[in-house]
Amino acid sequence: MTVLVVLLGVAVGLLTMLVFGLLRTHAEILRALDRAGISIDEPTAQGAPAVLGPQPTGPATSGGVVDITGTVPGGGRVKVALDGRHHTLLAFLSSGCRTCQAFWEAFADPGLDVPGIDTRLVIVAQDPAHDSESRLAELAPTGVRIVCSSATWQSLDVPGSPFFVMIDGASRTVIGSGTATGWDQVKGLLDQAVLDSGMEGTRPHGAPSVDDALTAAGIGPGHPSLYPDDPDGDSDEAQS
Amino acid sequence: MSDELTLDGVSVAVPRGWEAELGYFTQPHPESDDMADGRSFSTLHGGGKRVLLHLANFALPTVRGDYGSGAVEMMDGGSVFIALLEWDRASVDDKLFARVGLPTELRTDDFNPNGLQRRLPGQAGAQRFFQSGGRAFGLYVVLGSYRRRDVLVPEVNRLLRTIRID
Repeated sequence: MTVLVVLLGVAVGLLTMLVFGLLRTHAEILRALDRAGISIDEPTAQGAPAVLGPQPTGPATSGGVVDITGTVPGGGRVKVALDGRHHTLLAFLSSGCRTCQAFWEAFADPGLDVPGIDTRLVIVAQDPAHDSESRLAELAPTGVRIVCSSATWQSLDVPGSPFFVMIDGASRTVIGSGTATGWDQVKGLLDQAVLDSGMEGTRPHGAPSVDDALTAAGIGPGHPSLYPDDPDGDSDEAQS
Repeated sequence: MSDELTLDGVSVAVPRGWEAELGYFTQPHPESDDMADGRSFSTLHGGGKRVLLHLANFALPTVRGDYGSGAVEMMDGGSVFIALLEWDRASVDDKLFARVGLPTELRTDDFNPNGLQRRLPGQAGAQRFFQSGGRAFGLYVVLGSYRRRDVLVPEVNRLLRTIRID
C-alpha cells in the first residue's frame, strides 16, 4: 500500500512538472510571437498569403464593389464612393494590432507614394463596438480618410488586420488584395497588381487610351491632322 | 441604390458614386471658411450641435472648410459640391431664414460665378437660406462648370430631393 501511495505521489509530481513545462513553453512562444509583431489578441491576417490578386468574392463584389458607408472616429457619418478614373486602396487596420502600427505610421507621411493612378488611400476600421474609437481618432493620420465600417470588412471577406484591397474605380472591381508586415512590401505587391491588371487588358485607371480617344474623334491612321507639318496634306509622304 | 446617412434629424440617401459626410461643427456662425487651423471635417463636432452636411460627386478631401475650401479646388467641369449648414436655432426668426423648407428646385439662373465663397475659374455658386422644423439652415452649392449648368443643376436638384430634415 505504501509503495502504491509513493508511486502515485511520484506520478503526480511528474505530471505537475510536465504541466509547468508546457505552460512555460507556451509563454515563450507567446513572447516570441509578440517580439515578431504578431498579435494574438484579435483575428489577424498574418496567415494570409502576402500576395495581391483578385481574391475577395463576398457579396459586395458581385456587380461591383459597393461604396463604403460608416462613421468617422469621434465624428459623424460618412459615405465614400469608389467610382472614378482612379484607384482606391482600402487599408483594413485595427487600433490594437501590433503589425498595423507600422502602417499607421507610414500613412502619416504626407509624401507617401501609393501605387496606381491617382490612388486614394482609405483606412477602414471596425465599427466602434469592435474597436476603440478614441484610439482610432488618435491614430488617424491627417488628410487620410478613415471610416469605421464592419460591413465593409464582411462584404470583402477581410480575414483580419492588416489587410489591403486595391479597387479600380472605373470597373469597381478588386484588382488586388492581401497582406504583408510592412508598407514597402505592400507597395511592391500593389505595383505588381496594378501592372497585372493592365496586362489583362483592363486599363488600370479606366481611362480610354489615346487610340480610343482619337478613334472616337474620327481620327484614324493616315488622318491629315496627324501630320501638321505636311503642307499638302500628303500623309503617305509624312509617314515614310 | 443608395446609402442613407442620418444624424440629429437630418438624413440623406446618398446615391451610388456620390460621397457625403454628415457631422457637426462648432463655429459660432457658419460665415467664414477659414482653414488656417487645418482641421478635418470629422473633428467638427460637439459644442452647439449644429449639423453640417457635405455632398459631392467627387472624392472629398478629409481636410476642408465648411464651405468646401480644400475640396472645390479639386472639382472638374462635371463636379458638384453641396453644403447644408445649420445655423443657431435663435436665428430662425431672422428675415434671412423666412423661407420654409429646403429648396429642391434650383434654377440654372440661380447660379453665377459671383455666388462663390471663393471665386475659381469656370465655377459658379448659389446660396439659399431657409428654416425647417424650427431650425435655421444655409444651403451652398458649387458647380464645377458654369457653362454646363444646364446639365449640372438638375443633378443638384436630384440630390437635394434626397435630403430630409425632420
